[in-house]
Amino acid sequence: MSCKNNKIQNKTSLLKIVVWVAVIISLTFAYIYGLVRKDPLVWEYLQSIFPEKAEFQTKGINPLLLEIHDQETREFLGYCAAEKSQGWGGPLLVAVFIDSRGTLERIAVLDHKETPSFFLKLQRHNFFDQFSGKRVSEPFFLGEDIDTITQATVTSKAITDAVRAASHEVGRNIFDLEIQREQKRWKFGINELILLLLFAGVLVNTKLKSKILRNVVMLMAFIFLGFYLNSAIAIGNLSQILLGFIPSFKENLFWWILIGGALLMPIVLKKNLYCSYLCPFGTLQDYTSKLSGINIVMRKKYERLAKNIAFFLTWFALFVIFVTSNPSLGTYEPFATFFRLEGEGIQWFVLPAVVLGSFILTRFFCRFFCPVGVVLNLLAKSRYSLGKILKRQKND
Amino acid sequence: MIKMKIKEAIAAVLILTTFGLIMAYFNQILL
Repeated sequence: MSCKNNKIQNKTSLLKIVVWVAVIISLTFAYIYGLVRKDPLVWEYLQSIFPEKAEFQTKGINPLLLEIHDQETREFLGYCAAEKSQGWGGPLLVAVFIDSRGTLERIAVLDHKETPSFFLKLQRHNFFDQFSGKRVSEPFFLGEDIDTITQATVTSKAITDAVRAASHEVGRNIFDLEIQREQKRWKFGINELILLLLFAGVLVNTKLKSKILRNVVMLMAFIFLGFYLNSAIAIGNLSQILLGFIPSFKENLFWWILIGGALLMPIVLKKNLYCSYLCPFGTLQDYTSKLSGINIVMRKKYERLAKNIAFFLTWFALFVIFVTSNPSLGTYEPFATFFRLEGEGIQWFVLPAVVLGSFILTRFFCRFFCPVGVVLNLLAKSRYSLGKILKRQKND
Repeated sequence: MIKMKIKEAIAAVLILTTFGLIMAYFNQILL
């Protein structure tokens, strides 16, 4: 009997090893493919957005500065400059179109890796129209001459930064204007402070173990990270680190605190505290579960089997992200659909299914579908195992 | 036991439906 059990155990661990090797190899290939795949050139983008037959004459390379003429009549159409900046999901490429008098006609985001809901928000609030009619020498500062779109602050800031850099470049190179280069400023405000307080609350409660403090922190994070900022960590945020799309520390301190804090807790404390305390979608499921009072307990073998779905989805999402080098394409979590009521097509079916599930199975999404939970739990587990191995070695 | 099996069946339906919807979402966004 025990011999049979041993055989089954050996087979299971062998299968696990095979699966892990396959996962690592496939993700490595996807990552390399994403790295070597060439992005379309800026003018390919430009040709696609120009209805008339235009000819682009290069005036500068870094950043790209072009003069646009009509191919047939040779009529001067204007200038175009393209600049990159760092958004919430990765780099953005923005082009500005300027007429012969130095006035912005329009801007176009040629490439971006932002969550579609953030982008929809900007479009709906006519964010892009604000730039038309402005002179190239204007400051282009969010909250000053450009209106911020709340809940898409990082994206609107990234676009504004790129527009400023591109317009000022045209101003300096074409119109010989004296425009000073902008120094990067530290951005530490009330949002960063509240986030730090939330992390402090989590850390204090690992010692205090107070139910009240835990509930207060969870409720605050639910409102602040969920409804107010819609900044629950998604797989796209974690994968952008591996893709090297890391925002500037000075200007995106919030991103650093949130992602850094969530990753450091499993590494240092060996516990995934982000999911249990700070994730607003996790808290939502706790509330729905409490509201219904129902919790279907599955047998362990089925529970284990169902949990493989989360692993599969995490692998699939990472594969898509690495192949396309676009974190927003693999982000399937319905966070924005719930907290912002923004979604497209099938997202409106995913959310009700998840919410319905959370009424009868506690932490339904976290247990069976959440990729962030998979990554953070794996980190915590690896750190725990590493600690154990190191301890054993020390004792030997 | 039957009650347990019914509950598990409900859970399985919900889990598989959600999984199917998430895969359909990928299909929508990628194709």
